[in-house]
Amino acid sequence: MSAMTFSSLQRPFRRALRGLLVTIVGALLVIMIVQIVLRYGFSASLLWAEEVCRYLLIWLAFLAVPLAFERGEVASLTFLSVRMARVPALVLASVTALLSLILCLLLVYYGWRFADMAGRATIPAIRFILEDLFGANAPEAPGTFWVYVALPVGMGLLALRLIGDLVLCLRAISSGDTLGDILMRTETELAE
Amino acid sequence: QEVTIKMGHAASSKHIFQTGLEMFAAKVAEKTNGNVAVEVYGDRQLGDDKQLLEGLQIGLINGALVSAPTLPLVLGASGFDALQMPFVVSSYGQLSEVLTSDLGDELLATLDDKSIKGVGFVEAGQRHFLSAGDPVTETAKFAGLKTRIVPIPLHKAIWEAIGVNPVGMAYGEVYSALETGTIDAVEINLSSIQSESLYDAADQVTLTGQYFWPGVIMLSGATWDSLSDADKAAVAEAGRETTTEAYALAAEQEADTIAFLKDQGVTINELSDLDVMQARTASVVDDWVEKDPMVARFVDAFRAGN
Amino acid sequence: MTLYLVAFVVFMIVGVPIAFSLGLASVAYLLINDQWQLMIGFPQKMIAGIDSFVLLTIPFFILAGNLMNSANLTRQIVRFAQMLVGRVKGGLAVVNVVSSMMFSGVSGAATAEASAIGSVMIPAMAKDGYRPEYAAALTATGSILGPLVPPSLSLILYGVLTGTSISDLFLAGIVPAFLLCGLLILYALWRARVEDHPIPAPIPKNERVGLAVKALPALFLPVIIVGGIRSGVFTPTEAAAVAALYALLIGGVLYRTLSGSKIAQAFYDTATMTAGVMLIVAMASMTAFILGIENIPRAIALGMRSISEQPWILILLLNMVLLVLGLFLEPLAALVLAMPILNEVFPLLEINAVQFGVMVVLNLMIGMITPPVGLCLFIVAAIGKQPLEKVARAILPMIGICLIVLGLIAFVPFLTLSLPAFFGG
Ligand code: NA
Ligand code: NA
Repeated sequence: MSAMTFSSLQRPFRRALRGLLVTIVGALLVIMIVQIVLRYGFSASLLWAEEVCRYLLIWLAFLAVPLAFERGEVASLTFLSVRMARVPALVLASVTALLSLILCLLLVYYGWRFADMAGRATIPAIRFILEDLFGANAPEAPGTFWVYVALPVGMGLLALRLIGDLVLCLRAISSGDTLGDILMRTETELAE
Repeated sequence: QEVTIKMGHAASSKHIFQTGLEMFAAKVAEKTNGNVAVEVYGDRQLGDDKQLLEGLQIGLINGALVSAPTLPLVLGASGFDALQMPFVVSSYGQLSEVLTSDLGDELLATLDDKSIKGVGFVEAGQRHFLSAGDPVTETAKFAGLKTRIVPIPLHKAIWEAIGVNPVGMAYGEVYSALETGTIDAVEINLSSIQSESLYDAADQVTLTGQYFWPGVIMLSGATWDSLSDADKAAVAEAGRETTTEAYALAAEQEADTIAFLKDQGVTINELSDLDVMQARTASVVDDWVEKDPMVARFVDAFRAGN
Repeated sequence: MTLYLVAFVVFMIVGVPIAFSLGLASVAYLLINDQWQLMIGFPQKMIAGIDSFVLLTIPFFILAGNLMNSANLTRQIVRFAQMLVGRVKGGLAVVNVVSSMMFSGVSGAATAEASAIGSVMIPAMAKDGYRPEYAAALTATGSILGPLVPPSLSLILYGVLTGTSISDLFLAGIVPAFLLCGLLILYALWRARVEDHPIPAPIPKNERVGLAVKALPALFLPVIIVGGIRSGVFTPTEAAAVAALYALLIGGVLYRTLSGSKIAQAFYDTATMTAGVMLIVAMASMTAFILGIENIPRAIALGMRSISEQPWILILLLNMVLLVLGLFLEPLAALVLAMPILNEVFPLLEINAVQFGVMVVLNLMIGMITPPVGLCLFIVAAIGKQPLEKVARAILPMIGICLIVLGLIAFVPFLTLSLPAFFGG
């Protein structure tokens, strides 16, 4: 697959992810403010608010990881690679991408297993919401699996990104591009 | 020595959970002739209640002592709601007797299919009502009080029936929320008022005693399976004896804690119409009895003893 | 454990992201110590590490900073500071420090402050003939004023983790912040003489009232936060959401500079910046898990006690341990790791919990401006387009000033405890 089609496939996906993240941040703000207003103004309280906010935060944190990574918001030390010649710098970048990839894949595997083993109980907060909405015949609430699975999902998305980086670095070794060229191109791609 | 079992709990190392587990450790050592050693880790060193239960399930930790209300929540072990039916248990002694009976063993056995072995109980103390401002001396005064409760279905039903406005709030924020008036009250046990210094933030205690707060001593399935049959029997026996002694200790501590709180300037109130409060929650018991046969059997056992 | 440290440092130096270096070192530890069965615990610890209500303050404080920034508030604050204190030799440097102090009232995190003030001040100072690495270093140091003045992510987190009154912590940080601000101004004035820095042009008279009107509502936020918490309207965690809402109102209603797309962009930036911080916290929870297995916190605490039981020596030792942690770790991660050590040592120190909290937080903040790992240092170096080493050299004397303030906080209780006492804490 050429780099062109790869990025055109990515664009709608990235837009959807962005929309989802913006919605989560907005939802967090609304829930917290409503909770304050209800409690202080009306002496009432959303019993599920605290728990729902925590779970939204978990999804927010892991879903945004791949985007944070490509925007350079996952801090790393670069002093070694900027001092190196073209090929060694690319080899080093490949090695670091590979190391990160290994960790991601481990976390996808074990994260999934953990979610499966420990995610059997229903989410109490969702149960409260469903009971508020439907009363006694409320449907069964989803399990905490749907919270815990955020970790393997986020790490899986990042793994895809890292595989892309790895391919770019390895290809650049033969094509004559420098690490700087690759970084520049990813940046313009993001700016689009 | 053949096996070392590391056991965690989420309370401070001065809490009765620590004392209870140390009691259990001593009994296990004695009854297994030192074959099995139990090490106790408090202060959430091995995680909070939720992490401990998950850790048992995934085989990460050997053993734990976890508050019973967390079990229905994290494990879906709904039978443990039976231990917190409002105003059904008459005393520490009665609860201890039922827990060490065959019925108690049956309840613990409901954990078997989650690959967890329950062996005994340690009581954290009966739950009462701590509030700031005017003393709560009659049931009508609960109306509208912003009260922090543990956000689980059973407690929600109980406290809505009593008439407070239940507030869900992280436990870490309770002190400051009581101090500043973000909330008016919290339903809690006396020993926590002491250990978390909550008496500095609110100084009215009403001795309502709505339910007790048992902790469950558990081993992971893998740890249990690694024991010899003789050691299994010895550990189970140690658990049962620990339950009896820990309940006696909890009953004894309650009086000491009341004296301590009075020294700190806390006013200890009685509810003039406790029967009204009890009547309001009666329907909750009926609802839960219908939901789970285990709850029905415990309620019968408790009422038979009254 | 040595192996863990070596692995971590090697991964980090070759350029693996710091968060991943923590995780990979943990994996290497399990592999080499033949404890692979514990691997299933990593996802649990990572999720549990961020499954905390108080950590919601992170996205909200970042959001408040982003909204204020897209509403152009930073520029208003800088111009306002220039109007107040800019008419001296080295005026822009003084403006830089005072702007940081003012901005700390609206930002809850030092990184937000470093990028906001840095993006305005570093180019401006460079244009006026200041050495860019000096401008960058001064901005980074000023940014650690942020967490000392309410709102403050680190103080909230410390308060919740230790059960210390958060409103008292908020009040306690204010005097030390002014002290650090004053010392930085004196240093800037001295550098101005040595390096012959210029006097900036005055702000035109007709702009002055408008500037004051625009800057003052933002400066009012700390009052709302502390007032709201102390009167029970909201909890410290909820205060972060209030700060974000306030920023939205100021930018959208008062300045009318916030459009829907700008707000959406601010929300999106918040999401990715939050992920960057949370990832480190999650990975540090793995490290904490391994430290726990090895019983390291207790060993460090016992080691300190074996050197001396004198409270003041223990305080010195503790500060050294924290400073070393701060060299390599981001403050939240360092706090997660240091908490068990603090719990072991605190009872021996004969020091007030609030005073102790401010000391710990400033100590960890110093870590944000020290190489090799200092997020604020990375940010200002990137904005100033300067090599890290150059900025690191320029910041050394300023770290010295921070250490003086740290020492004063540790041994002069009055600095931290007078304000909480005054407000009846
Ligand atoms: Na601040
Ligand atoms: Na550092």
